[in-house]
Amino acid sequence: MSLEIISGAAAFLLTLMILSYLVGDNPAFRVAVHLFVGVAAGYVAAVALWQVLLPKLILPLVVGTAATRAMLAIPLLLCGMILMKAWPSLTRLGAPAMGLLVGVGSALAIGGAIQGTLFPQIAATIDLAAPARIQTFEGLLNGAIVLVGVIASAAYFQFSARLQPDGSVRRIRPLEILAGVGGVFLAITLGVLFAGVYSAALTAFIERLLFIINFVGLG
Amino acid sequence: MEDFVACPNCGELNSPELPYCQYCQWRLKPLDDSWDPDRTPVKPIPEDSDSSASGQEPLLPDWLRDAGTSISRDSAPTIKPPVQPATEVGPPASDDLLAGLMHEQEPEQERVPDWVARIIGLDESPPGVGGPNVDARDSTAEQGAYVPPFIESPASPTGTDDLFWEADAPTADVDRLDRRLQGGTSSTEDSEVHEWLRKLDATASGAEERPSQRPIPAITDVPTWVTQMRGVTGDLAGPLPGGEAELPAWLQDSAALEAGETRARSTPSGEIPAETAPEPPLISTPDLGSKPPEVASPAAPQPTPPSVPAFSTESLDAFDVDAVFESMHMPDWLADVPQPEQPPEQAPPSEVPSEPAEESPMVPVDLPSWVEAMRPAAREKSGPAENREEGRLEQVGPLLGLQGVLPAVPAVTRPLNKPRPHAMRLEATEQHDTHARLLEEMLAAETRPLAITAGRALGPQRVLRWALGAILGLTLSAALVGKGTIFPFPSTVPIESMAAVRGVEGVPPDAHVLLVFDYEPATVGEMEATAASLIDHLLLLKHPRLALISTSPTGSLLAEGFMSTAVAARGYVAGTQYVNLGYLAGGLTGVRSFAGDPTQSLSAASVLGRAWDAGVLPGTERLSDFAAIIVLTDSLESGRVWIEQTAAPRGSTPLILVASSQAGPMLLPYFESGQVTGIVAGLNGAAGPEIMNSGLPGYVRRYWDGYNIGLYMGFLAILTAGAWRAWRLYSERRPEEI
Repeated sequence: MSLEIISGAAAFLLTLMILSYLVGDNPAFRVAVHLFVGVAAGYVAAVALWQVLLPKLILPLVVGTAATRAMLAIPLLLCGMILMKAWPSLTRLGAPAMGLLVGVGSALAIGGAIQGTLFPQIAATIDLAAPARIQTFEGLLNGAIVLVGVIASAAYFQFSARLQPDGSVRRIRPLEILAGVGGVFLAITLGVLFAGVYSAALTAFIERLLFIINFVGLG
Repeated sequence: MEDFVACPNCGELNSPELPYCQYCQWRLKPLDDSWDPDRTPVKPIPEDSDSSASGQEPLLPDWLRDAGTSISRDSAPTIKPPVQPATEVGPPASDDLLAGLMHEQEPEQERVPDWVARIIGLDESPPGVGGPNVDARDSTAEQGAYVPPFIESPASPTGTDDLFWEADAPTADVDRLDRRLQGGTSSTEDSEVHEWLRKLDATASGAEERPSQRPIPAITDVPTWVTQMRGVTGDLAGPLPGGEAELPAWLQDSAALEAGETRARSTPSGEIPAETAPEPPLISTPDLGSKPPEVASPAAPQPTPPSVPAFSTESLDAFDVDAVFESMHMPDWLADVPQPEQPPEQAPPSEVPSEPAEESPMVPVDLPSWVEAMRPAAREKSGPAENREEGRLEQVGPLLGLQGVLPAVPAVTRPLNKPRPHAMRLEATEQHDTHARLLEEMLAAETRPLAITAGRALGPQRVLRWALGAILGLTLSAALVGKGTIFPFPSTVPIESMAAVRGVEGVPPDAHVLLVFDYEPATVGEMEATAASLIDHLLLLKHPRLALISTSPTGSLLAEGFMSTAVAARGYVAGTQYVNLGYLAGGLTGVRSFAGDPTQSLSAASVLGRAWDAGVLPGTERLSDFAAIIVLTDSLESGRVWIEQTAAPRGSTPLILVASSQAGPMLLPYFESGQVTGIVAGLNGAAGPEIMNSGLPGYVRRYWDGYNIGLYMGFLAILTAGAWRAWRLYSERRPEEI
């Protein structure tokens, strides 16, 4: 029996075990899930060891120059501090390393979001209403939808309200209407996302069906 | 025998219960609340006692004691009470500022000056008895006491100092005044206004010589303010017979009282006599019946003789009395003498000769303030209400006797021992009520037990799930097995997909292309089907050298699987035509590091021999050296990271995204903004590249029928479920409406 047949059989069996969840939670599904989680964790650990720790930390410390070793002292120290989080009594020692990671990550995320998303998207939204883009009906309609959608969606998240005479708290009437329109846009967006999820799942299901069909020789 | 208390100021007898002298308002009781009457008893002095009040008072100064002695001695022949009362002052109060004076024990070396005695109420002695009243200047000179200059200097008869000097004149002046009154206004001295005042003081000093019932002669030179005072006070004894002029009733009473008294008080300011003075406020009014007859009886109004001549007001109209008094230089000691103002409560209306004010033909006019302040009758008429407007009369403390000094603040004047009851009433508006009601409803909803609805049978749900699963599986399987073309490819290619194809086609031949595999194993089926046609189109047309990298630990494995399955037809060999750079650790930070310096971030990998520059990627040291960057991602975050973090380092290098169906719509705005060259999202987006790639490798086509059937089934399932839910809601509401 070739390796391909064995791997195919295992894949077929695991696929059926996962699809067995259609009839409800069952041991076969649990076994398959635990197996996938275990294999994924082992694989990630192996990748981290062979592709991160050994080539970037351990081997340079062993065979690298003194300058390389000195440069790697700080990463080694930070790694050791993060390992301290495994013990509750020493978890405070890992705070500096975690703070460094979170701080650098946050700075990069905010900077990238502002320069890579916020400003370009604002400029693109404005450009959609540019005279050159609205010369055609399609461009005008697209620009109007984008403009109204952006303003209405922003108004939907405006929660400043006033106290009404009857004791209720409501937004002002124009803002209420605009927020309602924004809610429609948000509902459409969520519907699109759900359709995308369904489409992705459907595609994966089709791929698994094709695998089964091919494996059983019906394809 | 009832005890009386002699006022240390005026010497008048008062009831022991009175805290103030009813004649001069001198405090008879110490201010200290802890004053014990038993501890400081007021002992009556025996009648035959030779010791005077000053002798019984060991604490008084000698001069004051002498004054008391002289007065008591002088008054002995006229005042014949059963017992001569005297005040024996006990130990000084702890807080009394005059306690030092009371403790003085010095020999009788000083004698009180007569003018001082008169001021303090002991200035009157019967004529003929001798003493200081006979000649005050001589007396004071002999005693060596301080005498004001205006007393020592022999002022002119019309001088201001002479006014007071003549007030101390012996009874001869009184006789002269009487003669003037009886003789009309013919004398030149009658034109002087101070004559009548001199008469008043003269009557105080020698009243015993005149009969109390002596008719008052008509005075024609009465000042205007005096005549007007009659009309204001209303306590005058009615219009006198004759009608042309009247003598003020209080003046008549004063004269009458002074005549009947054995001890008179000095009335320098022309105030009402003490006998008619009202009692102190807020003090229990002493029973007149308990008073000695000598004290109480003179207060009765005296009948006015019918032959009293009227004042000639016309003769005094031109006389400026105010100017005379204003020109007077009041000495400091006299100005400092407290004016015993009589509160309105002190003058019972019964003691004042009542006469309707409307019967008086006089009209009140403006009077000088100091004269207005001296009008006792006016105060009597004003009543308590008017006094309340003027201010509160201080009853205790250093401000005793002063009125209107402190503002009448209600909170201060209110009794402090009993707090005013306040109605604690909550004033809640409708808004408050609404909030309270909402809060109550929220609390009630939190505490209200919810009825647990009986769980519906799981059988139908499970059956429904099985049914739907079976229908979907069987339908799709049938469509996949049939290999038909139920659903053709779309005739139009999405613009973003077309742009992606154009971007791939723009890659130079044999160029270096970076492939990023950032998707999870669960989405392999979709991602490989979506990216296969585009990558195959690239490999088929341009034969680039590929560098595979992933920010997911499993990405390198998926990349190898993609190269071995999806584009296996192109025969790319690892290490020669493509290189798997492996896992890019650090996520966002790793991408930023890789974008900044690809070789440095992966230099460690070269230690193991799987080097960056093993010959696959020669000359590629920066991110911009790649001919194209194609990111295969199934998440929005991963695609956004590569867009944001590599924007500057990649330069003009095309960035093409191959995204899953769920991430494609969210990444589409980056294509609209020009940050991404093209996007292939899902099977629908991959149809165009496959069409343009001549249907190779055919993943989309194989999936297309099943994919579309699944979409329609899903749409029908959602629509059916919605209709079912709507019908259930309608059926549940309908019975309630009926």
